[in-house]
Amino acid sequence: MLDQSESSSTTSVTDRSDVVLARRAALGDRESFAEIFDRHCASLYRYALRMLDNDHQAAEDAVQEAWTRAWLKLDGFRGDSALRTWLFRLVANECSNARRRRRPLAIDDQLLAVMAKDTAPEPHAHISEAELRQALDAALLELPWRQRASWLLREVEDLSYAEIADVLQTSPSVIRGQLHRARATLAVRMSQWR
Amino acid sequence: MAMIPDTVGSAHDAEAAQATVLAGAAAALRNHTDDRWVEVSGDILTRVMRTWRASHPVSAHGPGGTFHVSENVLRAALQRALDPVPHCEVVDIHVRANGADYTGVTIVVTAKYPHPLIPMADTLRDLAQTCLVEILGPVVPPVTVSAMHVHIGDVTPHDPKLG
Repeated sequence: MLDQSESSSTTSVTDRSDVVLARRAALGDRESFAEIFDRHCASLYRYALRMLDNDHQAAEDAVQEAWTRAWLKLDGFRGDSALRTWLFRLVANECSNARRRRRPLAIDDQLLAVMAKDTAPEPHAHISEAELRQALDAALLELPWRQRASWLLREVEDLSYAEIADVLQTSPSVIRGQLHRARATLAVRMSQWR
Repeated sequence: MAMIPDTVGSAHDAEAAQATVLAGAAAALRNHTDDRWVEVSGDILTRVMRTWRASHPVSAHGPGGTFHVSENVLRAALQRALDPVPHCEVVDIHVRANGADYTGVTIVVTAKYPHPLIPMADTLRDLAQTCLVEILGPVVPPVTVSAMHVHIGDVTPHDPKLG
């Protein structure tokens, strides 16, 4: 006999772990899939946008394709890695495919020049978040693909070295090297903001 | 006494300042939600969930004759029907068929320890049988342990519905 007082009707979808939501979504529960989407969509889009050189349309396409694959393949998600890592892997693959399909574009020489210092030497505390973000976006454009991906996943998305290696399908020691080089380049590129 | 040149100290200060700037920039990026994403995310979710998941057809019988129901539709309906059962979480459902003819179902659950398992499995079987008859019509084999297998895949002292 069902004891309704203890039934799952009292359990909110937002209380459930990613693994439980993934299992439910795999069985066709749309509410659980929507919750997974709400939890992770913003960070996946943020990553895709930076990996695709701030091209909004390309990022939207890549993210939509990745989420479609997630919806179709959740049945195969066994929880060997965190759901978030699995989703980032899908998006990273789509970004990689999108970059391969792109025609090479002529690069603006100015991108390679060190950014000119601001005329007004404002202290760091006065720099707005938006300005800092724009400067970082410009600096990220100069990083090679793997370095950029490693830095974003580590410093912005807080993934471990092992998780980043899983997403980018390489080893943690390669990631360590990529991060070291990315940090060094970004330090030079962002030096004016000290 | 070893002398540390001032340049070493200032280099360390510069590195620390740079790390602070980069950490601040990363935080700014993390905290920012792109306006365009806010506009399009709902449409993307709608489009994604319209995608059809392919699965095997299962024969069903109604007043209008025989028709087919997707295995995924059965799995989703069973999940909804079994969800109210307390102290367990359905983690997988396998529908068995001979061609398109339904022959049985395996329901894999995680159960809460030390809740009694046999009454829980009986409740799951009864609810599953009701659900299957509603969808497939009066063709479902009678409820037996072999036709409708409840497999306890895991037990946990925590609420299995939360994970």
